[in-house]
Amino acid sequence: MIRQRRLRSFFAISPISPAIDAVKTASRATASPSVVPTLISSALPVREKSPPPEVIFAEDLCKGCELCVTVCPTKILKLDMTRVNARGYFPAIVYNLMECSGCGSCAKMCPDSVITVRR
Amino acid sequence: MAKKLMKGNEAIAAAAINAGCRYFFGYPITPQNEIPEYMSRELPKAGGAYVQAESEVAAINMVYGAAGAGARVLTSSSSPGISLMQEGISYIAGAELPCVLVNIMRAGPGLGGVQPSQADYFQATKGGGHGDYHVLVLAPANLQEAADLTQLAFDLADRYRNPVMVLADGMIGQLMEPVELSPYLPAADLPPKDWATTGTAASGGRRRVINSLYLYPDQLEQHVRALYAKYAAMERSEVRYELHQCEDADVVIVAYGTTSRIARSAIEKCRSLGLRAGLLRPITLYPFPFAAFERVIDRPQGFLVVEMSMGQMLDDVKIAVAGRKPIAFYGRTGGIVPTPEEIVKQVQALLGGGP
Amino acid sequence: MKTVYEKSAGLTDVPLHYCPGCTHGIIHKLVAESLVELDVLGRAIVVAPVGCAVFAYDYFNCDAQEAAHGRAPAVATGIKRVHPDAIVFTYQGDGDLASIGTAEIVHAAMRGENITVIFVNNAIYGMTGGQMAPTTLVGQSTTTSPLGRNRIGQGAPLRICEMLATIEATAYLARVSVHTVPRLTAAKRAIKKAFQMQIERKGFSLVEVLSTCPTNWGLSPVEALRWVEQTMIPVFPLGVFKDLEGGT
Repeated sequence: MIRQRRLRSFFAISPISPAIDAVKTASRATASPSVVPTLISSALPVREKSPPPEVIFAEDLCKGCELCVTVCPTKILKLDMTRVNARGYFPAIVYNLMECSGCGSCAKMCPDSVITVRR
Repeated sequence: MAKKLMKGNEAIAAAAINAGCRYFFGYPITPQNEIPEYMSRELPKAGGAYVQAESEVAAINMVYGAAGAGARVLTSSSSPGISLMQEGISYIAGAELPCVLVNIMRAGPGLGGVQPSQADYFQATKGGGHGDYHVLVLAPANLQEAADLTQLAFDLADRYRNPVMVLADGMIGQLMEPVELSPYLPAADLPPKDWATTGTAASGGRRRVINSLYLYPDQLEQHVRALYAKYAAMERSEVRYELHQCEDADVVIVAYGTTSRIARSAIEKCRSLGLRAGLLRPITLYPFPFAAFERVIDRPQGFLVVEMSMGQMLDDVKIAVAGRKPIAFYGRTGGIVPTPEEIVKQVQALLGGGP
Repeated sequence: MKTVYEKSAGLTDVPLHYCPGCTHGIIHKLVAESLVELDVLGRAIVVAPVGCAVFAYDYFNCDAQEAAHGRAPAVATGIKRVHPDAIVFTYQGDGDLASIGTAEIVHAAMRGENITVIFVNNAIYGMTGGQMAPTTLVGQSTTTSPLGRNRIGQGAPLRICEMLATIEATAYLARVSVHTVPRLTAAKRAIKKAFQMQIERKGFSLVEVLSTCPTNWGLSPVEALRWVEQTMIPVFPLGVFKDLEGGT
């Protein structure tokens, strides 16, 4: 069985991560994905932002090769060094989905067809 | 179809087309070149394809591909070229593909000579490629039989999903004799080729893989045992031989192919000299006709094996006789074809010159 | 939500056995996607090599035949003559195609066999543990050229595309790489074009894909991508070496 992790903004970081990421996450924890963070002044019209892309990993197929990490233009992928998948590799994950442009470069580059991208 | 004067090589090629063969892949080598030449003329007319391969190595692999794609396919060569094909034949047997191979034997070893020989018996019946497998081997003695056995070969190949070899020699290849090719129908009970690669759209089902790789030893053993179940079935059902004047023979000559024809003439001469000789002629070399020996073992004083080699079928005769009677051997090699007189002399020596 | 990328239907569900970061996986995807997009998957028959890709018959979602080492073009010839409407392609490495199979590839090209060849060039023998290949670079250390390939006695790498370009009946010969996303996108275009040539019965097509072998190069997968760019491409220039239709 291949576990799939569907990543939304509130799962965008791994449990143990730099403090700054934790702060970013906490400030958005209650934000719905479809709404601009509430820090924008109410004098301006609120613009609908499209939801972030879906980046789905068939994680147990990942071999931790980092090809996706290296081709990502916004550098939002990395290996999760805190755990191994069923094959014994450190799986690749998105750690900052908000910066994802949905280009699909990671998915195109992955030799094992681990990644599905939708937007 | 009326009898037609044909060269042996051409008769084999014509019989193959008659049996529904539409694909030939081969390479020129003396003394079988009339086979590819005939095929290059006739196959396009029959809606088939003739490909002259870059080598016998390539040719046998083209045979593998075409056989795996479900076609009736032929290749032919002569001894050194058959050596080159051994890897491919092993693959074809391992992948359980049907095909017909023709070896018009010439003298070896190495580049050797171009004259007739029977020194590929070991190669044909005991291997000659790697691994546990067998090729069904048919040995015609004249041109009509060469044509008939070539047609039979296609049915046997399809029935058993195995390569079948027609083992002839340069004499049979080059002789001209009247040959009749009767209308041919494949056997009605041949299994369908539902394993052939045609593209999943054409087969309408699961994708098909032709393969001989089994990396898990238990799977490979199971596979090889299944192959040998097939060979056991061949040994039960496909043995063919001829007994000629063995009922009262004091010496039974064991010979196949061209040598058996010469032996037949020698037996006639022996009989006129009061020497009672008979002929045991294997037609299938694999499966070897051990049963034929059981039928004649009690009668003769001994056996005389005659081959155009240094003694290859001799080993199988020793196994068949199992020490019960003495066995003599007479062989010519280097491309020399023995004369009937030489064989008569051998019989005389064995029987002490007659009564 | 629109799908930007998902696994191709041209691949089976069998997980690939290739080493982490080996670009065989990328090349498999490009071929599979091309067959699906050209709507010929149901007509496709792949001939698998001996080499790391020996299990290609488990990965491509079409009929398959496993060939003896180097003989895939001959096997493909046999299949294509029997099924001229099938899309028959071989997938071969540098030992399979440029060493033991040199006669077969040259003559399939010579005859203009209407097949497509995917030639994976990683300058080394992967499956057998990193021996020198005909495509190994001068100075490159392998297990059978431990001091580096010596021009004296071991020669210099074979450039297959350039060699085959001298053969008249070839329709399309291209060398591509997959070490960046733009490069793999261009590689896919070339592969699709090669298959299109077969569909249109234009003759023999071959795409040589520069590939990585992190394990036997002794590099990380990402370093291996760089090695293709910096060291392989200067020796194996990318480009189109034959194109019956003109253009690039």
